[in-house]
Amino acid sequence: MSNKSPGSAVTTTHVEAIVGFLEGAGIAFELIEHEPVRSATAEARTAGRSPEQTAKTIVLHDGNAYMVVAITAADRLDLHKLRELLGASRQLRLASEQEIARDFPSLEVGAVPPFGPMVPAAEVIDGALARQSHILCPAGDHRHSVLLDPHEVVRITAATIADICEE
Amino acid sequence: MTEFDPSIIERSVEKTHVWLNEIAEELGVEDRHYAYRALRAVLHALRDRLPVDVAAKFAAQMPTLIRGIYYEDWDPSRTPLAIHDLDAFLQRVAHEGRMAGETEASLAVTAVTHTLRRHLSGEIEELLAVLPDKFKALIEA
Repeated sequence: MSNKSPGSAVTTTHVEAIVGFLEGAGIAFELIEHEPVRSATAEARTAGRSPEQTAKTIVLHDGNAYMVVAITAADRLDLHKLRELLGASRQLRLASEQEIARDFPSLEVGAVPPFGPMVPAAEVIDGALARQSHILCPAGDHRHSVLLDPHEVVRITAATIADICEE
Repeated sequence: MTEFDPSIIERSVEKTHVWLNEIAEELGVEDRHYAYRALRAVLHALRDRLPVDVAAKFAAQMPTLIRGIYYEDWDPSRTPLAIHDLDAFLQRVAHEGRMAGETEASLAVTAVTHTLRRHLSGEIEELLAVLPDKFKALIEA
């Protein structure tokens, strides 16, 4: 694993876009390059962070539009809690990999960040994630993550902080 | 010898539709093929994690058609599988259900177990008694 300071040369364009987005928002962050990972749990492990400090971004669809939520890699989404919180219809469901690949082609499936120029900003961030001092978020591909203050993520997304995970 | 009543087949098909509709509704999808895949994957993952006697008792109260799905490809000589880790259990569900990963699998497990609870309430308690604690939180969600 290697750490890169913001603004250093990164060859992946979607990562550059996210870096540019965070810099433009005036947010302090650390870009971390690591071996390719396929899950938030593996991302935590390879970046030397706990699953509680690692964000798992979940893309859903409510029948009309996509919506993004973020929870810790240690937790599991409770769809009932989320529907209740949002007053969402029963149509709220997990977006499929095919939908994500089709509609967010600039991002690698499974590495969607909860913020940035290419995806809807996270609408809900689970309280357990928001309580961390720093969180690791996917940066658009399987080889990069960004480490930042979750309060900054809440600020730039205007997300609601709520308990949306299973007990 | 008890006379076979063919209407049992129709009733079993109707009950299976009810189960699939409930699973699909809980997952927020209209795709009943997906609901079937979720049901099959979760039932098989549970079945293969249970001791043979518990696995058989669990199936006894299921509608006939769903019991057939449950027993499909069962090899009792290879069970119970030594899966103690919830992530490994979810990966198994995801693999058989052709799902993207453990988030999708965990939602499938919750939807299927809610349906099981509604229709087989007593059996679920016996099942929970023999599963690791980590599994219980997901099944009881």
